[in-house]
Amino acid sequence: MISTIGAQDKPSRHIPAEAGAWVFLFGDMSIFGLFFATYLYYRGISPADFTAAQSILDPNLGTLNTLILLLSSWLVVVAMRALRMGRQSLSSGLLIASVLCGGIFLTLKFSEYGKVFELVDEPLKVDYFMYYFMLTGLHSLHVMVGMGLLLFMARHALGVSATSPANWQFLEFGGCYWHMVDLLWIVIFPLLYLLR
Amino acid sequence: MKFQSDILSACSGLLFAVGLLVGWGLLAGSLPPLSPSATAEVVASFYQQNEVRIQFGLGVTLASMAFLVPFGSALAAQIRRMEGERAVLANAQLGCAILTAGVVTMGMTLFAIASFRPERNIEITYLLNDMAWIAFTMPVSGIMVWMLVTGIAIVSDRSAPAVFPRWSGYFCFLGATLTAPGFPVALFKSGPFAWNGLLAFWVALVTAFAWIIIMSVLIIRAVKQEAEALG
Repeated sequence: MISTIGAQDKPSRHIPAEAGAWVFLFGDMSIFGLFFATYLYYRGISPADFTAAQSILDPNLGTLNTLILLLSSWLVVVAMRALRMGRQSLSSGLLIASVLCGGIFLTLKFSEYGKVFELVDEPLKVDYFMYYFMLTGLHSLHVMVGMGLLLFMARHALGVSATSPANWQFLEFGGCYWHMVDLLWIVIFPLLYLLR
Repeated sequence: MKFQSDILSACSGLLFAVGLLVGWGLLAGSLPPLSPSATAEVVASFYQQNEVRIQFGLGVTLASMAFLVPFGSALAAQIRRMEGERAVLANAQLGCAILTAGVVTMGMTLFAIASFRPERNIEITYLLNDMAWIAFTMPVSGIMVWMLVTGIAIVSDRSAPAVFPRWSGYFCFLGATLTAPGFPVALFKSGPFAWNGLLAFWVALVTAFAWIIIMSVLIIRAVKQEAEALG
């Protein structure tokens, strides 16, 4: 009996969401990592072509998108805190606000796509734009999935058992997913807009 | 031994994987794939020089395709344990297993047709090769949704002890994400999203094989636990 006390006293470290969820999160990030490496490899072969194609993009728009996603990530963090303090409707409202940030991000992204198609003939045949569309396109799909998760979270936050362990696990997973979407953009942004 | 047919069915997923890998991959020489940017001459001469190998290899592969269905059924039996009688996800999952087997069968049949008259006009062989590759790599939604519904069933399972470990549910979500990049193969003749590309082909193929193997092992483990619990 006595011998087990020490083991119980050891504080268990909290893993956000649950350990299994990180199979998905790390796996997804690794594949993006592989994709980044592929892009950098091909960029390294013909840097001048990439830089020339890149010059029609406006880095300010990319910066604005970065700020919007950072803001939305922060809103999710505050929403989780609010929920822990029992302020369910505030928490839900903040989550809806972060969904709106996601919507603004996508609107800006798609307007940029329109601009690229206007300025470049057959952009998919230009290597840089192939990577641009696929990297930002896959990321945008992640944003859409994340917005869906955030909407679910906003509904869960209002429920009677909002802070039950199972519910909390889901909310944390959704939060981690959204932070991952943000983190991926923070890597994609310099790779596509700033690299010279 | 109880549930012997469950175990046999779980293993049949491996027969599908081995049949595809050995027949189409090794015997027919499709690994690594012909490039989508190869000329008609290169493609036609591949079929001319390897005629019998390709035809025989595809025969092996096509004979093993439907073994994916019993695997789907064994998985359905476990998912039914997770979600109870209504079995919405179990049925969706089985439907996707059948669809996936059908899609791969279609692609492999087109490869067989391409190899049937290698002496024909090279432009026609070129077209048939395109048809086969795109039919095989582009229709990703069957396997993607298959992994997605399986993952949802696993993470929603609140029974104790859980039928499958929770990480495997998230692994299914990862699988759904990694098999998805096949959808733009018609847009590209080179790069990571071409039909021979790193993401659209290699990562998706390895993910699909790994998923079938891991799920087979988990089904067998779950069946054994179920049998023990029943005594």
